[in-house]
Amino acid sequence: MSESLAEILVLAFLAYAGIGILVAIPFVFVVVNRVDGAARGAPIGFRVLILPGCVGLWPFIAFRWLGRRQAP
Amino acid sequence: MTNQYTWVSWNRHKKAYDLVLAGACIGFLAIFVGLGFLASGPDAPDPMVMLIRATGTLSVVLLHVILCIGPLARLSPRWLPLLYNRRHLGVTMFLFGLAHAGLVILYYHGFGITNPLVSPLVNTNRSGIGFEMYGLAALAILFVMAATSHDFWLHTLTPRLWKTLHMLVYAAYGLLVLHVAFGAMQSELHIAYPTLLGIGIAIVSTLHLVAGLKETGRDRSALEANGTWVDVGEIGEIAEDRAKVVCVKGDERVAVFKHGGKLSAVSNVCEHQMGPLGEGKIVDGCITCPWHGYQYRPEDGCSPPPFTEKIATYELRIENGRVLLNPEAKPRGTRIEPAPVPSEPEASSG
Repeated sequence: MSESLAEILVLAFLAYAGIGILVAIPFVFVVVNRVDGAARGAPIGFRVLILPGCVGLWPFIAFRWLGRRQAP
Repeated sequence: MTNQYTWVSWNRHKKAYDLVLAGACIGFLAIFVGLGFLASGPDAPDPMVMLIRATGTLSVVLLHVILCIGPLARLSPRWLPLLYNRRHLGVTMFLFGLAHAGLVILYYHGFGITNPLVSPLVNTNRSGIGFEMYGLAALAILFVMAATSHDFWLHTLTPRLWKTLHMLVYAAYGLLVLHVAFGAMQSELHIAYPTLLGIGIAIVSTLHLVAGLKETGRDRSALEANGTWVDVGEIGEIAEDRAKVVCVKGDERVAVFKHGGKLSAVSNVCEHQMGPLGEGKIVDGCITCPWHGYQYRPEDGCSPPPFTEKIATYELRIENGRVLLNPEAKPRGTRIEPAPVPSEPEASSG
């Protein structure tokens, strides 16, 4: 792989992860309580455990979040 | 059985399991590094290199163990306790893989002129193959699996998608084999490396093949239907508070439980994580999933209040001492009166 292509891939990865962090933090600490009733009152350890997954799968999480907002 | 989430559902057995796992991992690392230094003598590599090799090897060994547990549990119930705690083993394996990758980036790529994150992507070994790409791809899959191992993800992704996602472990295994074959085995030419890897692949493949053949044979015999009803077997084959699992229509599995002198049939798939209900037992009058303890009433497949999970139920009848099952599943939560087990003389006389 050429160095320029590798640099683009790394930048894309960092951008994806950066957006993931921006989406995941409010989701894990606020939104998840509305999306999943079993998360209400759950301990901080639970939120920390699901945080990496929310960062990695942020498009899925954002879809769930927006879907929830648009629901009547 | 939607309860409030906790961060880790530990019980006494899981704590003991995790302690043994931690001890085994520390012991493996200590023995690997110690033997490595003893065997190398004055030519011993840098301690960091030894640690990189130790964490990478431990990760690969743990993945082999994880892949063997499934078929072993299908071949013999004595392995089931390992199956029920496999999630922690998977996360541990990912963490050692991550440590291996972190140390590699730090040690081999952290002090050059190229960005340490870019360097592994452009780096190739002497055969011209970027073997680190295979390792990174495997690590990405293992990350998704470890990060989604909490029950929250099972509920959020749905059990079917979650299971599909976690079946990617086989892709990760293939990538790791390539990573080792084109990486460590190109620099370490001792015959022990390909031999050990070959033995590992052979064990994993053989166990999957044997377990698959055993289940196929069992399913085929169950599908020798009596009319439209499936022959489950003799009543005596089902122990009290336990089940016999039969296959109907493709890969649909049904668990036939005996409890209190009566037989009930329910779907073998737990609503929670698609766990094998037929490998569980009846506790306090409820079928209890061996994986995470989700419970269902045998007569209607409903979780006891206040829980709301439901599974499909099936009709049963007993003829000539044999249990027959209607393969048409009733809607989830449908009550079906359990079939009373005839007394011994009645059952044998048919």
